[in-house]
Amino acid sequence: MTKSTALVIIGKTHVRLTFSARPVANMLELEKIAPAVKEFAREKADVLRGLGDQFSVANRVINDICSDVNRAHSRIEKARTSWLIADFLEPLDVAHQCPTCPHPHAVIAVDGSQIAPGKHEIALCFLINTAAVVIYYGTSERPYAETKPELCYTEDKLYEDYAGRRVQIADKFLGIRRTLAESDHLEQTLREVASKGIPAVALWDGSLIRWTLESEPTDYKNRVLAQYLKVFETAREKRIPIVGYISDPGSKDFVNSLRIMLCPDEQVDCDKCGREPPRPCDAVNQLSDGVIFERRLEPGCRSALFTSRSKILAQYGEHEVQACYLNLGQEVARLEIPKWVAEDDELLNMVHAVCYDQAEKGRGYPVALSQAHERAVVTAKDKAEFFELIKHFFVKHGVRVSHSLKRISKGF
Amino acid sequence: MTSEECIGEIIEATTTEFLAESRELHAPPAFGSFVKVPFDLQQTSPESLPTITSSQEEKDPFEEPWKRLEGTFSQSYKSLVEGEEELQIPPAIFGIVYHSATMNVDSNRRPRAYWKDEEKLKEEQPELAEWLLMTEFRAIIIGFSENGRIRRYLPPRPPKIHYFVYPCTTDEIRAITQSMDFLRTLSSFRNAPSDEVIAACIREAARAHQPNDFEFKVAAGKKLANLLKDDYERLEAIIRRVAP
Repeated sequence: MTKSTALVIIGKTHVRLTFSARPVANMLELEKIAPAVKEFAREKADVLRGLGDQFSVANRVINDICSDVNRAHSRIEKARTSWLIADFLEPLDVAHQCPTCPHPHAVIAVDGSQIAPGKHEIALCFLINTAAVVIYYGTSERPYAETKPELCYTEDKLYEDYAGRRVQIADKFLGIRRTLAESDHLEQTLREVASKGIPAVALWDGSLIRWTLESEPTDYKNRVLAQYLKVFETAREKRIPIVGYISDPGSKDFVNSLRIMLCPDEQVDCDKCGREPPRPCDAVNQLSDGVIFERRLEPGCRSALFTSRSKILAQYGEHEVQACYLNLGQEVARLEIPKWVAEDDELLNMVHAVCYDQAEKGRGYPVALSQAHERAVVTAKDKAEFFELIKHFFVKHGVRVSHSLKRISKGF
Repeated sequence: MTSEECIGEIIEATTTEFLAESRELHAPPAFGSFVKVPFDLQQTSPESLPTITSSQEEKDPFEEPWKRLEGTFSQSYKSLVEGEEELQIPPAIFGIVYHSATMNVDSNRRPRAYWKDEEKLKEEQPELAEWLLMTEFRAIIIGFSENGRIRRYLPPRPPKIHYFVYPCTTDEIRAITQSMDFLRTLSSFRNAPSDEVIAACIREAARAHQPNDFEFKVAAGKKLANLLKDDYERLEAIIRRVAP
C-alpha cells in the first residue's frame, strides 16, 4: 500500500498529513499482456503460412481415400483415437450442386436464452426465453414470430433430481433446460406449420448432438433425451426436416479421419503411439473441416455426408445425427440432420437449398435464425429491467427486498 | 379505406403534437391530411388522484356567456365559441399530418440495398415489411371535440400513448375548418415546412367543402392574407400552392 503525504493549511497552522492510499482499482492492465499477445499473433501467422502445405497434404489423402474407399472405411472403423472422427457416407470427390428451393416453402427457426439465477440477486429465480419464427415464401401467409418467456421460481423448477439428489439449477442444468424449452417450442411450431401443408425446414441454432449429456447419470440423461427427442419424432411424422445450423464451425471430425489415414501403423491406436511430435498425423493438424471444404467446394455446393462418433448418438435411435458442410460463399456452415432426413433425397435436397437460400437472403447467415435470435436474446438492459420488475412487485406486496453486501459493493 | 379503419397507433405524445406508427408500411396518411384520436377528456384523470370539486352554488367563471346574453352576439361569434351545435362530433383530438418517415425498426441499424424490384423483394424478403421496417407520421394538434362541440385550441392534455389514430371524416373536416383558426396554429409552427403543410391542408379541406371548394379557398386565402400581412412573399408562395 502506498503512503502519501499532503500539506494542509488550517487557519495559520500548517499540518502535514500522512495517509495510506488504497491503490486505485485498475481495469485489466492490457500492457502487461501485450508481449504475450504479440507472440500469439506471430504463432498464428506461422500457422496460417503453413496452412497451404497442410491443405495439399489433406487433398492428397482425400485422393488416396477415393482410390480405395473400402480400405479407408475399414481403417476409420477400427481406429482407436482420443479424438472424434467422422466416417463418410458419400464419395468425397463429389460436390453436390445446390438444388432449387421448393415453391412455396416455409422456414421455421428457434432460439433461446436465459437469465441465470444469481445468488446475489433479490430472489432465487431464473428466466428462460425462447423464440420461434416462421417465414413463408411464395405464399401470402404472413411471417409469424412468438416468444415464450418463462419465469421459474417454484421449488420444482429451481431444483433438479440428479443422481438421487436434489440439485439447484445452475449453469449446465440451465443450459439443458433451455434446450428442452427450445425443443418444446419448436415442436409446437412444427405442428402449426405442418397443418398448412407447405414444405418446411426447421433451423435450430447450434449442434443437434448433445454430447454434454454423455457423462451424466443414466436416469437424468434418459429423462432429458426422451423429452429432447420428442420434437424429432414429430418432425419425422410431419416430414419437416430439422437442421442444426453451425456457422463457422471449428469441428475437426473429418480432419481427424485424415489423420488416421496418415498414421503409418496398420491398426491405429493413439494410446500405443509413443511417437514424439511432430508425428506423421500432425501434417494436417492445423486444419479444420471448414477450412478444407471452403477450398474444395464451390459456393452453394455441399460436401459428402458424414457420421459422428459421439457416444450420445447411440441413444438417438432413428434420429442419429449426420452432418455435411455447405459453402455459402462468405463462410462454410456445418449442417447437422437426423438420419431419416439424410436418407430421404427429397428432404436432404430441400435442406441444402433452403439453407443456402436463407444464408443468401440474410447476407451470410439465415434470415429466420437471426430473427429468432433477435427475439430470444436477453440483453444486459433486459436483465436489469427484469430484476427491477421483481423488486417493484416485491415491494408492492410487502416482501422484504435486500441485496447481498457483495452486490452492493459492486455498486449494483 | 373507410373512415372507420385505424391508420396508426400513437407512440409519442406532447401537448402540441403526436407521433404514430403507421399501420401499413409506406402508407402513412397523406401530408396535410386531417387525423383524429378518439379520446374522451372526461375520462383522463386517474381515479386514484383526488379531484377538485366545486360546490354547485359557486359560479362557473367560464360559463358560456351568450347563454345569459342570448341574442346580443352575432351568429358567427356564437359558432366560433360554441362550435357547430347541429353536428355532434364524438370526443377526439384533431391533428394535421406534417411529417412521415420510413426507417429501420432498430434505430441503430440502417437498411441496406437489395437490388431487387418491389415484387421480388416482397416475395423473397417478407421479413423486411413485417419486422424490420416501419413507417411513422407526426401530426400537429389543432383542436379537439368535447361535449359534441369543436374546440379550436389545444386540449388540456395530450392523447395517450398506444391510442389509435383514424382519418377524419368529411363532416369532421368541414366542421373543423368552419373557422380558419387552424391556419394560425400552422403558420406559427416551426417544426415543419409550414408553407407546404398549410397549402396541403387547405387543398385537403377544400375537397371536403365541395362543391363550395372555391369559396373555401377564397376564405382561407383571406385569413392567410390577414395572418401574413407582413410577409407578402410567403403568402404568395402558399397561394400559388393552393391555386388549381
